[in-house]
Amino acid sequence: MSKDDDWIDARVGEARKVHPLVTDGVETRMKGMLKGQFSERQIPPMEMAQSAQTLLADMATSDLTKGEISHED
Amino acid sequence: MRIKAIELAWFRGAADTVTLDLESKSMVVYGENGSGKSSFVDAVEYVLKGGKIGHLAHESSGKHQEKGIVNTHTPEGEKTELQIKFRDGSELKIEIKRNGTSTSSGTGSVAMNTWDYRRTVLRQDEVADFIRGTKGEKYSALLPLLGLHHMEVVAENLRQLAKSVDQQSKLKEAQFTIEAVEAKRKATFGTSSDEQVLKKIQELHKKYFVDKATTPEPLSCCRELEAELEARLARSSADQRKHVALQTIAELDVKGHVGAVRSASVKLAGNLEPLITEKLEVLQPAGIFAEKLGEEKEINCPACGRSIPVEAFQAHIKSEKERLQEIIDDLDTRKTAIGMLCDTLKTLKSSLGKADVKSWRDNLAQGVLTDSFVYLDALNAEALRTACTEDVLKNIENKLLPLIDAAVQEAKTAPPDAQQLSTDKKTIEVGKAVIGAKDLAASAARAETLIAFLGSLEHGVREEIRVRSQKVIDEISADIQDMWSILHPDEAIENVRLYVPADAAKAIDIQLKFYGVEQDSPRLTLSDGNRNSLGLCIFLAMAKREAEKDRPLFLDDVVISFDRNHRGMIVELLEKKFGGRQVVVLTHDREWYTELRQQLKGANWTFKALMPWENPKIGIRWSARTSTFDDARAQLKERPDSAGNDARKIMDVELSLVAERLRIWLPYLRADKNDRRTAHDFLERLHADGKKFFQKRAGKDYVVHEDAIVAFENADRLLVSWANRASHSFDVVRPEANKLIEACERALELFKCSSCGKGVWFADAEGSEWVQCQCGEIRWRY
Repeated sequence: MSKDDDWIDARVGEARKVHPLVTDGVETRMKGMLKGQFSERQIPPMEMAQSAQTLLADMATSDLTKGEISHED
Repeated sequence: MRIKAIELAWFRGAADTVTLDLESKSMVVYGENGSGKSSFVDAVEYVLKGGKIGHLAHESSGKHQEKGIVNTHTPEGEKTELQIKFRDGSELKIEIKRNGTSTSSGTGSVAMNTWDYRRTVLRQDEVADFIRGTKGEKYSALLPLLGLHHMEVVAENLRQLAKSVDQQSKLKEAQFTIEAVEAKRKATFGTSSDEQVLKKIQELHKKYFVDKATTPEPLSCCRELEAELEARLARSSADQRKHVALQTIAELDVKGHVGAVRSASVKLAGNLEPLITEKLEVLQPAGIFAEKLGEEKEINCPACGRSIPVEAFQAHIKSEKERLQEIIDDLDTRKTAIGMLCDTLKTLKSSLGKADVKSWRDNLAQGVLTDSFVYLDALNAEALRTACTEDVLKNIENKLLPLIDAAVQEAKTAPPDAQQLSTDKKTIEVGKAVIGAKDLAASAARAETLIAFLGSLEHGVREEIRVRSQKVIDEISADIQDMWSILHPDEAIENVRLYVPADAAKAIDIQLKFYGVEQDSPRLTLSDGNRNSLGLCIFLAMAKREAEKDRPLFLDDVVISFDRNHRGMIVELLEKKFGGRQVVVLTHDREWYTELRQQLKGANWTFKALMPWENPKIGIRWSARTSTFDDARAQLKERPDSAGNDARKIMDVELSLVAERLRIWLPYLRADKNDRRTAHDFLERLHADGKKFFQKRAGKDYVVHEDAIVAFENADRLLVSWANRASHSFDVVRPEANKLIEACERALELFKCSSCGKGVWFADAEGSEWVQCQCGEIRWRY
């Protein structure tokens, strides 16, 4: 696996700017996942479901009053 | 890391251990088709692909490859093994069991762990497949070579994660519930704001808890009120309790839910049926369609036959995908509507089962609503989730709506206290649902945000792949052009390069300039040979990127479609671009093999030839020939002595094998003289025995193979003459050597049948003492 992971931080940061309601917890976890198993293999459905639940839990502290940017890029 | 040797035992075409002894050098291996040369390449592929060999996958769907990997005639007790030895002394040994499982040992596996198959092995069919492939297939083939495969894995995982978040958050169900609560809120509170709804609940709290000085937060307020109303209900008269229970039943919107299911079904059918009909029409010519999509500017619509731009078709595909997504949404809506109906029917059933309404129910059950209660009692509401047909909906309407109507009528006769209690109870229930729905809406909004975020991230990753692909491709394209110009000097096909189309995801294609005109695809202008040549350049350019790692490169029959001129250029390409690499070239083209022997000189190259493969028990064998007759001919001009001597050496080796196969017994000689017999010894005996035992078919009978006898005699005479040539002048040597080569080759050829091409020892004939070729045209008696 490539150890050149800076691009992941950059792309996650870009996506976060478009979606400011996403929490720090989600951002941190996504970076970890993308640098780890997500770039090594196709994740099976059961594991994917667990990751989805974890991320939804990470979103629980999201401040919905901040509002989203309505367009991408 | 260079390979020193590859050893095979009962693997693919190999029987007893056979070794490709590279000695860490480059090598050209010649062997007829089927001689087993690709078995060595298969061994490398087996290791690099973790036990898989791509070209075996056709016959066994990628499974049960052991049927092709293990020699079919492996004797009991023998092991199927492959061993790769490296220059640094490390080794990798793999033992393969008959069931396909394997065990490996040795530290050599570490050396090969980072090798990429596509940058190590190139086979002819893979080159052709690549050029024929669509943009998407080229992308899939090249992505791992660009070192970006892990990024594609990231993008795909992100796409799946977004889908999983959608499912895990139960977003569709939440949205449906929120809509349902909104409808109830409108019916109960009208257009009241959130504050007004809360105020209404607080007022009710004050009404039922007059002595309480403080009002708790809204949700606790609802809970306290629910408990209080239940307590008051328990203390009320039986008649009041009956009316409150009936009020609950009267408010069940069975009719509305049936309507919602029916409406969702109608919408689904309306979208689904025409779509399926259209899809069937489109799917039939889809193969031709997909083929054209990658290469053409325009394509013919399979439905109407009109020529349409590729972009228009792609837009159509996009809209079709959106339609399919809409159908998936419709399916979800219908599923949720059915769920709501099930829950309502369960509430109806439990409400009518309560003791408070028993007397009312018993009265009706004996009258006109008998069938309705029988139906309700037998109803399995949960089963409707998987089988909710129009017949079921009609039954619900016919049997259960009259029950609701009866409850509505009875509820109207309720005393004022009961009516008020019932109204307040409903207000609190809806108020509680409104408060709960706010949390649900917040959860749904968070899930939607997360899904949108993952979508943006996937988009970002794909953009990263595109940018990086283009960067690597630009670098590789320079090498491709360089190699192309070596293979095709002075040809007006230039600027050959790979590119990433801006308007398509997951795509890579090839551009070139053909006589000054830009072309988007090699297919439009290049011949078959040139296309394969281009494929070879592309993969060699990829392999060249690993030059510093000093890994071997296997080229397995990659020049089949090349003409003589372009084959010659390959030598220049290998020397110029891969001079420092270990390259193993395998070919069935004897002419090219001879050319390579002449052209690839130097200490880095060795040459070996395989004997024709005969059967699985004999397996792969190296030819003991010092050279071929063509090699000998190639030396006639400069070194006629060597040419003649090579012909003699070939005869020494080949005739000893022939004698062994035909069981020609020669007188025993002392000590090592037995191993020093010459072609003359064998020919003398073959000539004598042949007159009696070598026959060819003549009609129904066999006659002595006179041609062979004459050829043996001629070759023997010339060999003896050659041995005594010391007195001949240089000018005489060349024609004599030429005659000798011709005569020797002719003599050996006659052991092969001119019809079936098999040796006279190929099969047993009638009677144990006879052998014959496959068709029986020639035969020999032991």
